[in-house]
Amino acid sequence: MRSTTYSALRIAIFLAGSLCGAQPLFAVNSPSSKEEGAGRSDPNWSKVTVELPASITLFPGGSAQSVANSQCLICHSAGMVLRQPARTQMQWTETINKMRSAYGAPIGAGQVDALAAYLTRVVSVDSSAQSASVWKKEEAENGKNDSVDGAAIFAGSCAVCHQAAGTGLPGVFPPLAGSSWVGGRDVTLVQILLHGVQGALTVNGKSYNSAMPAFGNQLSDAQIAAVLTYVRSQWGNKATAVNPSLVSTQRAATAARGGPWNGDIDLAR
Amino acid sequence: MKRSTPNAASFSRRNFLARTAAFGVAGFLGSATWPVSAADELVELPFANGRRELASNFPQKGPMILQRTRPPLLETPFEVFDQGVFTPNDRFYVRWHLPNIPTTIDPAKFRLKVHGRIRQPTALTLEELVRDFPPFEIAAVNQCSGNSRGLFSPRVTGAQWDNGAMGNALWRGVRLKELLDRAGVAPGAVQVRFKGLDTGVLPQTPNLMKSLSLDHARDGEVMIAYAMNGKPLPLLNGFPIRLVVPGWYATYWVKMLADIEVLDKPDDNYWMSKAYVIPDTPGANITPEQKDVKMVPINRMVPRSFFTNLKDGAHVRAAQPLQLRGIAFGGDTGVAKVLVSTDSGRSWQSARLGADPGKYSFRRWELLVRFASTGPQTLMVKAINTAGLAQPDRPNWNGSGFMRNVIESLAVQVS
Repeated sequence: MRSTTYSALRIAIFLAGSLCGAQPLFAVNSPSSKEEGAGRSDPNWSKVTVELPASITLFPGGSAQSVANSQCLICHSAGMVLRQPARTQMQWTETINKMRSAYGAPIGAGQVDALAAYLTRVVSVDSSAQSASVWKKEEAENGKNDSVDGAAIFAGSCAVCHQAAGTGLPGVFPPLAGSSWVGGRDVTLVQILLHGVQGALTVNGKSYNSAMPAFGNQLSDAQIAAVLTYVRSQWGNKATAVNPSLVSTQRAATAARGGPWNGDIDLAR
Repeated sequence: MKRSTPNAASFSRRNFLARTAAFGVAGFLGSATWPVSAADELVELPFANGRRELASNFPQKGPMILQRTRPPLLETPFEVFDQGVFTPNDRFYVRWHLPNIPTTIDPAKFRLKVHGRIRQPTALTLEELVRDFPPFEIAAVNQCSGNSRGLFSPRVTGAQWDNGAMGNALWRGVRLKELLDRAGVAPGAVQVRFKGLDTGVLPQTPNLMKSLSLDHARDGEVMIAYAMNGKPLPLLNGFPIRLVVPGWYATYWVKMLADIEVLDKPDDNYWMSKAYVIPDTPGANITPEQKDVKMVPINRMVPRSFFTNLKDGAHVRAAQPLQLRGIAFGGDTGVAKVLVSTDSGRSWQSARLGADPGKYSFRRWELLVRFASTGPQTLMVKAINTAGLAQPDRPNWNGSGFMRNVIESLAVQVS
């Protein structure tokens, strides 16, 4: 089976091209005329792999901000909330209670009032714009600050095993420079930092069997994002930045996990 | 990659907007709704708190109005509907309820399980689905129950869509009836329940499951689609297969369909009994004060029509011919007539209807008009379906923001 990974860029280019030209009246953009073999042939079942974008919007400051960020983001990104119409505290209380009873959101009964008051204040006629500007502001700041923070965290917490140049120690600690793990899924890296790893782990074709400690209790979401962003941009690595909200979501989603991941068995898929 | 690089993303957005703007000038279009600022990735939907990003970083998708990143809610920019009656797959709107959406689908390993009150429980491969049943094609509109929710007054919660949570495609696949007949429905069966591969993060979150009556499931139109406009479905539209329920709201069109269960009693799971229920009144219409209304599962769609080559606030010329055009659909049956008014509804003219791809499809309409005098004017468009049901003069209201289909109005400046 052929494996197909779709890139947003490729699709964007296709799309820009497809918009050229005037549209005649009653043009039925016939679905079968666009690409070869369309419509009449049996499907060609190729394996499909996609990556979904992660939200980087966090709930803005306020008394119940941390509750919103740790509870609401388990199931959905913040933008949906910030794009709602302005509502009364009673209406927000109803919604929060629906999230608790219908969907099992682990929001404590004692947290409901403060969260409802917070949302009443934060979600307003222009909070969607705020969400958009937060999006851009965070992106800009991540680009500026991560190399500084990330480098310091790396030197203090990681370099002792993985070495300052990310080379690791042959046969003992795996390299980060050129590692397909480091250049791979950000979610996997976040989980490795949150919970640690034990057991056999294959890195660039070589098997390692050392234990990496969990950093979930030592580093904040922003620190984990910063050090991963640093590692993913150093020593020839060229992977995308990791956002704090992804760490936050991943932390919440696996909060119940008690121990480290079991090397290739859990992580390679 | 997780997101496209900023350069790639902004390139495509700029390009898209530049094309749209150029087209706009040629067609006397206004630009009142967007873009809103120098930051050309933003669009302004026509209600309070309506600023949205135009996102180009979702897989297999072009620029889409971002309603929610996770799980994705992506709205089709309305300009797309002017391009033709079939909505391109890469611009087709996206709506997921649960955040754990498989991001890899291996068709070789995928199985469609059929079980419950049937004689021969089975797990079909995709190859078997294609090979063992005759292909069936139908053009049908897929519309979110809450399409246009952002326009409700008073406002209600939920995805704050403008009118773009809908799309029309040519669906190809197999009739559900054939599948059920092959499996052999056992005595006592009353409903058929459908479940996809998406799940919640928390074990307490109910899986999304939707049910149809056995008769409806076997009506020969309800189908399992493996192609959309001649191509595999985009993953976010349900790859590899989804249910298609022509004429019914999209909540029933279960994506990544993997489990069909024939039930011997009516389904009372959360998604049938609590979510997606409407007041059992004409047009699902009640007042905000009305209490203790009988609620029923949402079902058949109602007629709608739209202008696609003019936006609210457009400037048009007096004493010159102007081609108005748009799309219409009849809901659960075909379009009989599309009427257009250029004088706030005092008089109506019949629009010419375009090719008919089938009674559940979008249909093009067009009308040549000429404004005699200058000043503000209100254009209206209304569809009447072949069952005689017309779009209402006044918007409906219900607490979930479902089934909006009021006559569309546009304010234009004639100069």
